[in-house]
Amino acid sequence: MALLLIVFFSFVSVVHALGNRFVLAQLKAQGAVIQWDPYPRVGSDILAFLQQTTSVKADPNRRVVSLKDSALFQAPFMIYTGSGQCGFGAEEREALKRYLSGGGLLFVEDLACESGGSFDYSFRAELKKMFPDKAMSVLSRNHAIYRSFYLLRGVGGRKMTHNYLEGLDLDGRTAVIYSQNDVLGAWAKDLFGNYLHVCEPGGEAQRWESQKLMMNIILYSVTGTYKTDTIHLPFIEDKLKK
Amino acid sequence: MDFRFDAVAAFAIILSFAAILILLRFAGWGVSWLKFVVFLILVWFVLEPSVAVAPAANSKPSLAVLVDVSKSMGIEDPRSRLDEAQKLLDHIRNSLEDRFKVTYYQFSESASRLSFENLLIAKPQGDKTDIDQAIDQVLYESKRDKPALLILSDGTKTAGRKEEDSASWTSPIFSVGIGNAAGLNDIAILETHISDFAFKGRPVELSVTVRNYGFAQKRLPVILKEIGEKSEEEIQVREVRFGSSIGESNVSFKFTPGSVGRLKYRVAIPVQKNEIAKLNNTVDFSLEVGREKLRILYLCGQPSPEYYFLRQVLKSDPSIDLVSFVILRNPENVVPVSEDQLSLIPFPANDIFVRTLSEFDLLIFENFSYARFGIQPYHLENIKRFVEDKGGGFLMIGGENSFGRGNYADSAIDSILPVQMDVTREEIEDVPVSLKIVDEDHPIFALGDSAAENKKIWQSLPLLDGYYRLPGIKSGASLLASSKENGAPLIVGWRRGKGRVMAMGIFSTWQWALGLSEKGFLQSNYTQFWRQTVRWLTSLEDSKEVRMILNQTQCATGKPLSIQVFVRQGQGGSAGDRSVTVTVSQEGKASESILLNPVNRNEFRGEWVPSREGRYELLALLKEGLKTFSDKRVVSVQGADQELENPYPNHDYLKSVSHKSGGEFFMASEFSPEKLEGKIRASLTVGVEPVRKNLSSSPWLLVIAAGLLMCEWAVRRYNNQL
Repeated sequence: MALLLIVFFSFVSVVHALGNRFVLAQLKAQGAVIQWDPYPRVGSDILAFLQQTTSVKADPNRRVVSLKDSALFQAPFMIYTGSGQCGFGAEEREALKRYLSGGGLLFVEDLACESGGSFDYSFRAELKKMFPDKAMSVLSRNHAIYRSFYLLRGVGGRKMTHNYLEGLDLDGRTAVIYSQNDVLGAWAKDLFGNYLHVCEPGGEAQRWESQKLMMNIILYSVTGTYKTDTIHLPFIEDKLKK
Repeated sequence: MDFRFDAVAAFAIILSFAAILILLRFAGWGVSWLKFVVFLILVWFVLEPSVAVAPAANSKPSLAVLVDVSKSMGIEDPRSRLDEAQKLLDHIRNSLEDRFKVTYYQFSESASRLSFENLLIAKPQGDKTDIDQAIDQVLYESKRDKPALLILSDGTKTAGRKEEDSASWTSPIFSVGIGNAAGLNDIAILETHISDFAFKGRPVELSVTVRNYGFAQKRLPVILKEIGEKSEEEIQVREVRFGSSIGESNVSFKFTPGSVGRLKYRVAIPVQKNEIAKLNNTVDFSLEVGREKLRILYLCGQPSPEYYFLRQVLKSDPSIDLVSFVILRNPENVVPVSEDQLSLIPFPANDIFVRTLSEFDLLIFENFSYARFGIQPYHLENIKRFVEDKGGGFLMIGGENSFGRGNYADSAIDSILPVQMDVTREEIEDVPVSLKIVDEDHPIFALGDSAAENKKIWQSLPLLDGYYRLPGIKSGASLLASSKENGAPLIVGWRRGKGRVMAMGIFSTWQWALGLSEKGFLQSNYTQFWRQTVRWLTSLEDSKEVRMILNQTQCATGKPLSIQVFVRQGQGGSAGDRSVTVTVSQEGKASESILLNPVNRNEFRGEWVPSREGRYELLALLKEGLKTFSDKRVVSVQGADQELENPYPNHDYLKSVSHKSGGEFFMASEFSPEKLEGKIRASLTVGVEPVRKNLSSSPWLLVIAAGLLMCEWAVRRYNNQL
């Protein structure tokens, strides 16, 4: 009986209010974007791995939101993936702009992994419309994303289009993280638990880098520039030298 | 003496002659003349004749000699100044009185006439010197003689009008300068120059001007001390060198205030042997020390959106220096890589809670359980001391590892938290919640320029998702905000010792930021809330609407105390809508009210000159429309013998008085009555109004009239005419 009570209270103690939990949200794209949700089961794997390896408490359910949805502003981290032509209506564009300006973080994946492709081109154009005086730039290797949990020396993904991430900074923080390597694709599994895609060209090592990168991006969404604080630098540099 | 009859008197005489003629015609000579005389007397009474008498001019011009008998005249430089004046006067008395009609006065705060003999034995006892008042008084009392004045004084003026405001007189005033600064021994701190505001941890420069009289080839220490509540701590010592016996020298100090608030300092030079004035060897001043940067230590038990957003707010504030730790991995988390591949660092519990805690101004615990990270109970005791003794702030934000759930019940943290802890009644409520502001005037909630705007802003803030149910608030704590939905306490604060502590049941304020953005508003309200919260937690002063700064909190009687009142930025209204009054009270009784002058919209200045010793309370009151804000300071006023505090002769003032009145200044060694000859005219009496004398007011006239009537009656009885 005592054991049952302990189990019961342990269960109670892990109840979290939604408000302070990490929520993995996926943006449901509009318009000509195709394959906005190519890996619907990836979310649960990511969240499970996140809770197993880190102290982040997450809502176990992925949340799908649209730019017209008020729930957009209840999820400060959002993934947007797809291929084809990316185009927002004026209302959607304004909502995304407000989301990003208000502190939201958007992780964008070019599923086509095609530099200068249709999605790449059109998404950059949309960003330009939202923030005319801003442009994405390559995130340096000292960026907190590369050290928010794992110490990363590179990036991963299903297909290594670039060995870097790009980002758009707003008010001193990176509000948009852009990848053309299909990081989520490296997580994708079939119903039997086998990975769907071979990671090119690095194979399983690249897949592991992809998974670590995804963790780091999530950790960045809940810790910000924490790992660039001065107090961490000597430790991190020491480890990187090794 | 010149007699002069009025026209009325002449008319009376004519009438009298007419009466004589009538009486002589109808009566006998013997009786009638008596009646006539009586009649004449009665007519004299009725007509009240008078005669104007012009005073005769003196052969000698009048001269009033005024001798200063204030305490400063007792200074020996090297001989007593009063003694010098008395000897001079004794020496020149005959010569003076041969030439002038002399009257003698002594004066300090006012003048009094006395004999020459008494003047020679007068003592220097006057507490103040008001030369103008003495001149005015003597000229008024002897306005008939309109004398010239001869003042024997050291010129040290400690009361009355300011020197530049002194009056011009019509009578010539001659002055004889007594005193010799070269024979004086005194070290005085003349001035201290320092910025009235400094930052903690930043060096500040102090310049001190020292004046020397009488100490040649001397090296003296100038000591800077910080005055604590119970003791004085020597900060720095500088040396000032004087080659000659008269001169000024500057000394500079560079020191770093180590704490915030109004710090008191003292500059002192040890009193030297034979020094004439001792009080002027010490100057006290206070320095308003603020934080250049607030140092905040933020410990978070798990990464979350709240941590991300709050960290961003604190990091983006240039006035905040943030050090944060967030627990990224708990012991139960398993990572399939070696530690070298992780960016994690061990949590430096001992380093933080033993060595560096005192360097911070605010400690934040968000969902942080101490027991899991090597934090020992004595570390919690250090946190308690950090708050109560060092004046640090402490904020605990709710979460599954906070308050009772974080095992803080019955710990040192329990004693400083303003809320009760009972793990059985503490719960994370997963329901929407909005804030009901209980203390609307509390500075952390001041987001708008007016109360109405503030209310509107708080009503427009988005709902928060969930809250931590706090079981109750402790006695003496202030409930600042509660749940609008069910009244549960959400923000509770209080003061513990020197510091402030707050318990917060809301843990997802990031939703305000994104929610405001959704509505198209800026996040400034969210940012402002947190900035004001950390400022309230870290400082008692920054959150005040009105802040009064005095240049010193210990001062001397007669010396002006400068008052500055700052109104917090962001308060609405223009300077014209505002007035700041400082009320001075002693033992609860208001004695004075000072209206300060606006310098700009947020600053007012004025001064107060304490006249008596004692402990005074100064209350600055800002009136802005119907609202009033106040700030209070206590000032200790010590008696200062101004006569001796500034012992230097002020012959320049005497020169100025003489010059303005057409007189002349002489040094005592140069003066002789011959030098006044020809400069004071006897014709000073010309133009004096004649004195009118009433000729009918003598009672003898009535006696004569009655006697004559009795004679007339007796004559008639003798002649059997009755």
